[in-house]
Amino acid sequence: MLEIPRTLLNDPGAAASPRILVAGVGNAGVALIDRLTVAGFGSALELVAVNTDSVSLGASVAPRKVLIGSKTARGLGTGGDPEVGAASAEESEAELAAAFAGAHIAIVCAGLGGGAGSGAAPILVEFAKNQGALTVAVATLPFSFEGRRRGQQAADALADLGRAADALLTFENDRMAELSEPLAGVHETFSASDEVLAAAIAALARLTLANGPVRVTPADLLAMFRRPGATSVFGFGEATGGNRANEAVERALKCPMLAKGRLLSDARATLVHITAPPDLRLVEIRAIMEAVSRCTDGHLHLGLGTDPNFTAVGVSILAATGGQQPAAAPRPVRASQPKPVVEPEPEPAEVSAETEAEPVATAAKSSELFDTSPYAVAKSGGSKKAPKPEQKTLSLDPVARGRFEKSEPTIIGGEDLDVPTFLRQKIKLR
Amino acid sequence: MPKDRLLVGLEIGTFKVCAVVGEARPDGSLRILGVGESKSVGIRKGEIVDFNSAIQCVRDAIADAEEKADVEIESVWAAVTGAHIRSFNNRGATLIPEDRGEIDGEDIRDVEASAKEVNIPDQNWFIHTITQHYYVDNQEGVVSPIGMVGHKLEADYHIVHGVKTRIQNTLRCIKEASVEVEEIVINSVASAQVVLDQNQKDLGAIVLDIGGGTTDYLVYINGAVQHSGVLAIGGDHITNDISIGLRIPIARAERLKIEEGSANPDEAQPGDTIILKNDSGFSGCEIERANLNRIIYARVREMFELVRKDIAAHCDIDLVRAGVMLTGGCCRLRGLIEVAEEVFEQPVHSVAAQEVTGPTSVFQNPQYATAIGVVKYAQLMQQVEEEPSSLLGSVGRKLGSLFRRRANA
Repeated sequence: MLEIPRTLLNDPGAAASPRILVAGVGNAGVALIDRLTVAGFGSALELVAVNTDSVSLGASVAPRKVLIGSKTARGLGTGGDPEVGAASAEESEAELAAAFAGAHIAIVCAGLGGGAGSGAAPILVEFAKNQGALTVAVATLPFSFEGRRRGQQAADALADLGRAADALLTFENDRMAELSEPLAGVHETFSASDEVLAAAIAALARLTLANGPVRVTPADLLAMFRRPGATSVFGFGEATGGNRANEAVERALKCPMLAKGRLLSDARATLVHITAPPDLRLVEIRAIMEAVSRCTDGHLHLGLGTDPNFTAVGVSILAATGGQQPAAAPRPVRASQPKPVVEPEPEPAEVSAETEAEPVATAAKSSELFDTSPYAVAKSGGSKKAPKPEQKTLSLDPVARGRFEKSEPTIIGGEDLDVPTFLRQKIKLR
Repeated sequence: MPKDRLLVGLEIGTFKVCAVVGEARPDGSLRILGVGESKSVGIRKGEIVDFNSAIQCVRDAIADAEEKADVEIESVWAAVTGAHIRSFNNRGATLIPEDRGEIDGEDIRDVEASAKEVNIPDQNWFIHTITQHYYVDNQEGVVSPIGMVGHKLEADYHIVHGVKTRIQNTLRCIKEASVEVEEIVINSVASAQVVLDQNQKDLGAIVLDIGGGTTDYLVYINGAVQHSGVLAIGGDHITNDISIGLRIPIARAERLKIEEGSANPDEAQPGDTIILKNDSGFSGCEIERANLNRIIYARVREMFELVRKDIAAHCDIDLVRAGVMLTGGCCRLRGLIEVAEEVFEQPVHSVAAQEVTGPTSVFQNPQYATAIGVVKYAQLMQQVEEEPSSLLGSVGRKLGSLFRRRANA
């Protein structure tokens, strides 16, 4: 294949693969960073744990930790007050700015509703942006039973994040719990939702890093996830063998967040990213896209990354559902801030003919990201004091189909009609 | 005078396999001699998922029918269904050679063949090509063009097709049970033959056959089949919903549906409970009647809405003047008619087979409408073959296809 290096970068110094930094803020954010660390993403992504609570940070296995607000919160946490969280972040501006320095893409993850996540995350995003990074915020909304106050704080923080970040992915705990087994334990539910998030972040990184004929640029991501009020859903599946394309997409659609593709039906835009060995055939791509398009009427974006190091076909589906049209009013003035960095393109590094060694290195790095189940094997060192020793695989089929479990699903208009109507229409039983 | 002839209709349903033995009288009437049935195993949504169990069910049903009717069954007409079955309308046209000018059977076949010159998926088979209307030199409303003079013959057809291998599975299953298959017919076409009379077909009617695994529907407008479809949702889904919603075993849910189920959500008073006695493998519990009705209502309402939406997308539902006929085993569910009236905004009737004679317990039971319909269909088709130019023949041709037998497939 003829490959033409595209050097769209303004900054020649960044010609190497883009630096992706993932910062987790607050307890939920730190837990997520731990999960990513244990799963071995430390080498491909820069992982930073940020918290106001020194105890939580102490227990974390993150490679980098930043304690914020040592004066404001005195290392004790925020007590659920976003004001304290925000003040803590302001106080530690210097440390945070240093942490974000040089990153091309900053992914800021937080569980909203508490103090540190809700208060500090929007400020972190601002700092990252000031450092010239493209910012993606990944937020989880609290369970509705956590009370109105947390709900309100989360909603406020979400609005702030929506204004501050270039792209915003929102996941609802309620929805994630709804989709897991009703009888699942608390730990399982939380770790399941963490797991989905971690997989989503890994996929985000993967699709911006992977090299291939149809690339997804950060700009594509931004276009999809800029709309306020949208909720994101995510699914990933991977398969090898003769029927790999169909199996991979089926697994992706079976992910709890997507609920057999049902939730895609109201998706405005769906991003399908396929990672595959170079022998991927066009018919396979078509099979995947057709399977997804059966589930949704919205726009479909295709991203394709191929690499000889991949052995399996992986399908990531990321969709934004709901949300309003982007407000006509411009987002906050950013006159003083540097323009968002022009898409950091990993490609030049991989296709530049200068070094033979580098492509291999990059490929190896990205293939790590493509590891089938990133949580199955804890990388060296991490396993001993892994904070969550139970790495249970989440059952991916929590949707109740009962006796139709094994039969061909009746899908009309993206809805799996084998699932009881009262469940789909959310009719309450007493 | 031709003697009475035996015809056997076989329906491999999701809930039961049922064989109906009928006797076609020379005067065109049909008498049911006996019905054999066996509970289905290995059938989901109208299609075979466990081949060997299905064969056994067919054998049992045939043996039962042989005993009840005191006849020996060698061949059957089979009803098929399944979500793979699709339909569309198409017009065919052919020119009549100048030197002849008179339309004959050959021309009819030509025009039908030209209507079939459309793209259906490679793996699909034509199941029915049902004539809607003939046009001779643009003259509308021609019932039987044979013998007429004209230059151009056109005809509208309702064409039904389905996945070849899936139909073959049904055929093979019946053959494995040591019975030959004469021809196949889709459920809704079969049911319509016995639940609608000619008057209703002319007025326009919808037949809704709600079975265990599928809902088959057929729309007659101006005496012709305008649309047909299969929705892979049926009584099984209601049972499954109840089982999941109330957390009771499937078998118990099925019994609860039949004994207590109602699709009327307003029927239950708050606090009205049903006590389920303990059973082997089930410890018994108490459930709210309101919950049960709500689950059923949600499902059947959605089911009717889907059917209505599909019908409305293909034909003008206002031209249906005789209303909606519900049949099939599931139509005995309480409150179903009211929900259907709510959705279709048409008079809805629950009907069973008409225009046949025999034991009333059989033909008044909507469960057997499809299988009896198959026999009626077989009778009409045979009349077409025997007396192609008679009035009855034209009626038969109107419903039916002239397709070759595929018992050997």
